[in-house]
Amino acid sequence: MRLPTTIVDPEKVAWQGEAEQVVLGIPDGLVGILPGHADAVFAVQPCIVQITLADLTKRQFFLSGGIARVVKGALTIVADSAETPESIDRIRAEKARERAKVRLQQSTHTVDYDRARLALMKAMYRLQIGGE
Amino acid sequence: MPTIKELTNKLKNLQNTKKITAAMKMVAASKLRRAQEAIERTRPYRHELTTLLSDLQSAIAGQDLPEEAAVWLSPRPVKHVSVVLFTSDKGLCGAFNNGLIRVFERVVGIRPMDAGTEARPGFSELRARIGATAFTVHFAGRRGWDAFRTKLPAKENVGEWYQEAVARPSLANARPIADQLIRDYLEGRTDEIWVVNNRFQSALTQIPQANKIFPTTPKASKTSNQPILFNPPPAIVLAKLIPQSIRFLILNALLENAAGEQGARMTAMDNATRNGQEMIDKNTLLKNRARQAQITTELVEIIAGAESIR
Repeated sequence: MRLPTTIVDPEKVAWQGEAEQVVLGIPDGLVGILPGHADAVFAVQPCIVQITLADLTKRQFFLSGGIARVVKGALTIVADSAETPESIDRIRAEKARERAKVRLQQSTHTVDYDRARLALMKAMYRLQIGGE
Repeated sequence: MPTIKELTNKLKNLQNTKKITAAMKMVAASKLRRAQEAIERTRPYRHELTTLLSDLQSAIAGQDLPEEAAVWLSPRPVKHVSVVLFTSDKGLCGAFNNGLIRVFERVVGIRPMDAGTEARPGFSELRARIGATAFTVHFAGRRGWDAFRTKLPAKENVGEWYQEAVARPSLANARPIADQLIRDYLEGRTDEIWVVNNRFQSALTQIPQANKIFPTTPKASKTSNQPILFNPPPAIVLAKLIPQSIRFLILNALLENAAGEQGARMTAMDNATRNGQEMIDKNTLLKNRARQAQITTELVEIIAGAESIR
């Protein structure tokens, strides 16, 4: 049994295929979804989605947030944006990380602080998946 | 009567102009195709988003809203309205911008309302809103900015001009507009978000429309097989999905605007090419007639000369 998986973002279908396992970040931590999962809805945090394929190779995507839903054994991730390792602009991500760090130190307002923290998190994930 | 030389020059100019308009038509056609493909690619997301929104809507029916979700989901009085006006940056696209600008002038009260505008449900509703509350207009596209930045009733009505967005309609360029609106809403500076743009129907027709993109109530789905497992609770999931859907709707308006612009330009340039050809035909006729007249005159002179010698 496989887990049919679709990742869509506003501009494209980022990935579609059959997976053995999909690991997502949700507010409580990581959640692994296996074939035959019960119907469910998760809010996805900015995270790296790990998809394990039938031949045990892995695919990774960076999601800047979204909603994941399992319906009748099929997983659909409605992502705010989904980026493949190839599409990530390392230089831009690095700049974003520096910017976020500075903002984080300067911000006093809670809203600003949360936004800066989120931006930093996103930049770091992007760099991680964009890898050397 | 113009001389043959004048006509030859004029014809040369006409031919050049025709070549340019024909080339512009071709460019617009290929850009239009690309824009339509971009709209096409958003379909799966739109489908998933709509079903998700209505399923969540039915899942939260009758439940108490957690504090995190209340800001998005509980109604509040409308004291301020934000409008985003989408136009093109460039001209040479027929009535694409002017049609929309004229309608919007009626909405903001620069011109009196007319029956045509009143008949469009979105515009009459927006007119009523704007008449009663404070409002700010944000701009995507230079034409709208040029038309309204000095004409709106008060300084507070003029919002941001997003310069990059229209040239390259993408998620990355939709995000700054949407995020600003989301921030304004969260921090209580605005209570309603409207989008005014041309809906792309075909290359020949673009229809001005005004849509409230937030707050709206998605239709609750009737399906009973709701998921049992929600993490976090459905109301919070829905609250997270709302900013995402605002971003999508802004992107969608950008894409529709781009496709409409290229469609309008293609049609306008097609007409220009056809008119050019007509003028070429007319002037060629004139030129031939002038040449024939000259030949006739010369012949008459020669014959008259020969007669007088005899």
